[in-house]
Amino acid sequence: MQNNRAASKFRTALSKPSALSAPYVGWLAVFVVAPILLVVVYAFSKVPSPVYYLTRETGIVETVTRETVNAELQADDSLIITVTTEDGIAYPESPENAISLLSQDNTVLVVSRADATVVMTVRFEGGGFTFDNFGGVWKSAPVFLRSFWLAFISTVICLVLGYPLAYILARETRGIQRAMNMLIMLPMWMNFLLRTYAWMSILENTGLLNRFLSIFGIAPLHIINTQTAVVIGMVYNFLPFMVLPLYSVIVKIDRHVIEAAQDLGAGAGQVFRRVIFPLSLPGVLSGVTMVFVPAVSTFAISKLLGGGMSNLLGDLIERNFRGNAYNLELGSAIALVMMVVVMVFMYFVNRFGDGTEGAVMM
Amino acid sequence: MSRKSRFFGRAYTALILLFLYAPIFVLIVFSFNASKSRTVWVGFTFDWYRELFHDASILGSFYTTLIVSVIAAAVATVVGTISAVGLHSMKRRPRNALLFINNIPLVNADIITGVAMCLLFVSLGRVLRFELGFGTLLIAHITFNIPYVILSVMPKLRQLDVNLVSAARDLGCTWFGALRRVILPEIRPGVINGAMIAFTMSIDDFVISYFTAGSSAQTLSMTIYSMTRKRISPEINALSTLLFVVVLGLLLAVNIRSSRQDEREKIKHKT
Repeated sequence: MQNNRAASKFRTALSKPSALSAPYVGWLAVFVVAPILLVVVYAFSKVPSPVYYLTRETGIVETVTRETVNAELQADDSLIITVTTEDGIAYPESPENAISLLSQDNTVLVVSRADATVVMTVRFEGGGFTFDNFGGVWKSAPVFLRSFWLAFISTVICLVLGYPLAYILARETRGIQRAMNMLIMLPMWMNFLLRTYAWMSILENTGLLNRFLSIFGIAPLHIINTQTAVVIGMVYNFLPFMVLPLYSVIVKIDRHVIEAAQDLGAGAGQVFRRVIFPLSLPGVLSGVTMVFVPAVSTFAISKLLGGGMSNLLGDLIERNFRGNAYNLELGSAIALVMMVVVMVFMYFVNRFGDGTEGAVMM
Repeated sequence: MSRKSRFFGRAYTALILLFLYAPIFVLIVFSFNASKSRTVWVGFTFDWYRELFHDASILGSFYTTLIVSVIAAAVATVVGTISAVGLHSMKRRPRNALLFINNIPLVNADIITGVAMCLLFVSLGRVLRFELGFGTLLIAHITFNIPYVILSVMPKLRQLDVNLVSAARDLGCTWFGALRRVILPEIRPGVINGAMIAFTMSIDDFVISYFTAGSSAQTLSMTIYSMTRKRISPEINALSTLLFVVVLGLLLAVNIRSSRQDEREKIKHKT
C-alpha cells in the first residue's frame, strides 16, 4: 500500500513517466515472450518432411514419391537437368548431383529429355499440429531421469559442503569475510569451460590425481567419463552459487536470537535446528535454485567430463538445435517439458520454504 | 567460539579453497609446460603465450566478446535504468506483471533462453532474410542483461525520497531535468552496480551465445568450447592464466578501495 502511494506521487511528480518503460515493454514482447511462445509452437508442430511435386508438360501438378523422382532422373542419357536452388540461381547439373540436391528445401529441377520436359519441385512441409514430438520426448525419459538425478545429487552435495562453509564464514572477522568472499567469487569470474577443462587433466586415467595416488601405491581410480566426474564438475562449478546466498543470509541472523535460545536452555543442536536453519531457509532456497537449474540443463560439463557416456538433457537439446540430430521440433518439445518440470519443482521448493518460514514467524 | 572449533572451521575452509583452486593452479602451471601434455611436466617455456598472441581465432573471438559485452552492457544500462524509472511509477498490477516477465530470462535455464531466441532469430531470419551473426548475438546479450540492471536499480528507486522529485518539479524543473538532476544521482550506485553485473554476465556467457551467434560470430567461450572438443592446445592454459591475473588484479583493486572506504567511514563515525 505504502509503495503504491509512493508510486502515485512519483507519477504526478514526473508527468507520465510510465511511458518511459514503453520501449522495453515492446522489447520484452518480441525478445522474451515471443521466443518462449515459439518454443511451445514448435513443440506441437510437425517435423517438416520433403514433398515432391512433379509438373508435366500438360500442366498437371502431382505429388509423387521419392522413388518416382529417382526413376525420372535415371531415365536415360539424353536428359539435361537444370537446377534452381533456394538462392535462385539456375545451373546445369549431372543426375547424381541432382539427386543429392533433392534433400534441400525449395529446389527446382527442370528435367529435359528428347521427348518431354518435367519440372520437379521439393518443398519441406510441416507446421501442422501434432503430439508426435512428445512421443520422442518420452523415448528420452532415461535422459530426463539421469539429468534430474545428477542435478539433485549435485545440489545436495553443494548444500552439504556449502552450508558449513557459509556458517563458518559468517562467524569470522570482517577482514577474513571480505577476503574469503573475494576468493570464492574469483573462480566464478574465470571461464567455466576453462576450469572444467582443467578437471579433465586432474581426473584422467593417467591424470594428476592418479599420479598423486600412485605415489602412495593406491590403485588408479577410473573417474573421467563417468557420472562421478560429471557430478564433480557440477559441484565445482556451482558451489559458489550455493555458498554466497547462504552466507549473505546467515551473516544477517541476529546474534541476540541465538543467545536468547541458548539462555532458554537450547543445546547446540537445538539452536541450529530450531533457530539458525529456519532463519537461513531463504538462503537455502535461493542456493538450491541457483545450483539446480544450471545443473539440470548443462551440456558442456557432461560433454567434457562425461565423455559420450553421460548424455544429459542439455546435450540432447543442444544436438537437436545445433548438432547432427538437427530437429527443432523435437528439441523444442524436450526444452518445453524440461522448463515445465523445473518450474513445478521450483514451485514446490518455494512453497515448502514459505510454509516453514510462516511457522517460524508464528 | 572455542579455539578447537575455530581451528576445524579454518581447516574446512582451506579444504574447500583447495577444491576451488586446484584446477586453476593446474591450468597456470601447465601453461608454462614445454610439452603439449596436460599431465606430464617437461620443462619451462613461454612458447604458449607467444603462440596465443599469434592465434587469430582466439584474438578475434576475444575482441568479439569484448565488443559485444561493452555494447550490450551500455545499452542495457541505459534502457534498464529508464525502464526501471517507468516501471517504478506504474500501478502495482501492471508493474508486477512486467517484472514477472522481466524475470523470465533470469529464472529460466540459460539453454532455454538460448534455444528460444535461436528459434525466434531463425524464424525471423527466414522472413526478413538475415542469418544468425553478430547482430543476433548482440540482441541476445542486451535481452539477458536488461533484467539485471532493472533488478539492481529498482531497490534504489524504492529508497528514493519522492518529495525531492516533487520539490524539483515545483521549482520549475522539467521532468527530464528532474530525472537527470535528482533521480539519476540518487540511484547512481544501483546503476553502476547493474552495469557491472551486466558486463560480467556478458563476458561470462557461453550457452546463450552458442545458440544465437550462428557461425559467423564467435565469442571467446565459443572458441574455447570448440578447442576443448577438437585440438587441445596449452594456449588455452596460457589464456586462462592471463585472464586469472587480470581478474585477480581487478578484484584486489576493488576490494582494497572498498575496504579503505570502510575505514574512512569508520573514522568519520568516530569523529
